[in-house]
Amino acid sequence: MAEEGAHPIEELLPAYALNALEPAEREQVDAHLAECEQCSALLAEHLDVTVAMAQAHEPVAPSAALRARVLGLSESPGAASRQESPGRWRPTWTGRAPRLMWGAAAALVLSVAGLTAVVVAQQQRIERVDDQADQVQVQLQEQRDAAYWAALPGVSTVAMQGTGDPPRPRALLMVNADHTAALLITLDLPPLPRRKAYQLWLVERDGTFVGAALFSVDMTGYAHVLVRMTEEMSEYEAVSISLEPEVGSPAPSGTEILGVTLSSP
Amino acid sequence: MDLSPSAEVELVARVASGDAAAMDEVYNAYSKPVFSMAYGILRDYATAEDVTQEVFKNLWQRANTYDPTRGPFKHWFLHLAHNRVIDELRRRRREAQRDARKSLDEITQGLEAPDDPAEEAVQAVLFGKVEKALQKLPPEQRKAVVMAYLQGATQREIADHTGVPLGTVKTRLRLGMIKLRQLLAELRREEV
Repeated sequence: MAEEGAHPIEELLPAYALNALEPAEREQVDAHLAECEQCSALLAEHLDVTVAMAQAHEPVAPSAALRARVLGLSESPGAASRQESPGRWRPTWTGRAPRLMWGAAAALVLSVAGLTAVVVAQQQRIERVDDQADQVQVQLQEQRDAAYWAALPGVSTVAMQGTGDPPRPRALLMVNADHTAALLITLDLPPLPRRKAYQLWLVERDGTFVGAALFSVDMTGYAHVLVRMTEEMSEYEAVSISLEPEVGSPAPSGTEILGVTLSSP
Repeated sequence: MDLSPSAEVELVARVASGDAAAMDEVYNAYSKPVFSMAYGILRDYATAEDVTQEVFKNLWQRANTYDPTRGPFKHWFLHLAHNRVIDELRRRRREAQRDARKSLDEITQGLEAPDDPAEEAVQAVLFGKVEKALQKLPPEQRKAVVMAYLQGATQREIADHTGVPLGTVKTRLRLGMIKLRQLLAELRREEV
């Protein structure tokens, strides 16, 4: 919960509702909204206007082909083969584009420069995938987010790497300078069973597990999750990700997928 | 199709769990408003369809990030949809800026329409109570709101392109949104 009376982003909310903020301002608002019900309620009032404007355009129907594209009803062999099981809908765009190529597998801390180089290299790979343009666009945006986040002054980074046969699960947690928020990126986490989710844990020095985020992954094990922080990272001795019921757990109850012990401050 | 907020919460939870029938229901309810907005702003049918597809793709991928305690699904989803449309506008501008053959006038097209862009844009693409409410706004507030909503300009870009100090733009945008909400509420009351 935000400190009472501390709403530094309140005046940014109208522009936020109109998507008219610069990226840094938007990050600031997102971080505050994650912990402030009062500002969330105020944002809802401004969104009333944005939604009214969004519904004030001349009604135009999209084509029937779009429906087929979106709902995956096209008869292409690819669409059929992506159907996981009867009744389990998969979109037509599920083939994922290439992923971030991560650096040294055992490295616990990656430099900002290193991450930026990884993102640039990945963008070059993405440019070669011309049949997945829509998907690439989203992923590029996420990589820009990651590069932007990594370039923030004072950001600290925790990397986790699984063991065993490839593909090994990996995760990167980038914590902003004032330790109010972090960006979690995962790769190659195993597909989630039904009714399950991954949960990110921050382990306090007395051994208490604090659930920091509940998330799912796509078919490649990729996730891109904004995490709300309540304490400085120095207050934690470890970070882990475990498999939990889809509603989350108060403490780890399932298999630990990734984990790392943090060095003492 | 109008669903109650509680029914929408349940529907979105089903989408998050990968339920095809739920996705179909959301598409039936929202494809037309999302597409109409995308087409109204982008004025390109094919691109509007591509953007609409991406919006629903994002819903599929991120439905589990919707928090019902923070407001109605319609707010969350149409705000995301508008954000994606604005991203497309900005991508176009970046492309134009990368093209060295473009003249400065062409590069800034979309932010600097002739005469009064707010007047022309409102009359061309926004209708009903919203159009009426926008027309009642002070012109400088209307211009700021319309440049942001329809042309994808950030507050800083509005300041740069209008020559108005950034602080003034922020004030105009904020007051414009507050006044618009009041005007829309008055118009709804008159209608009842």
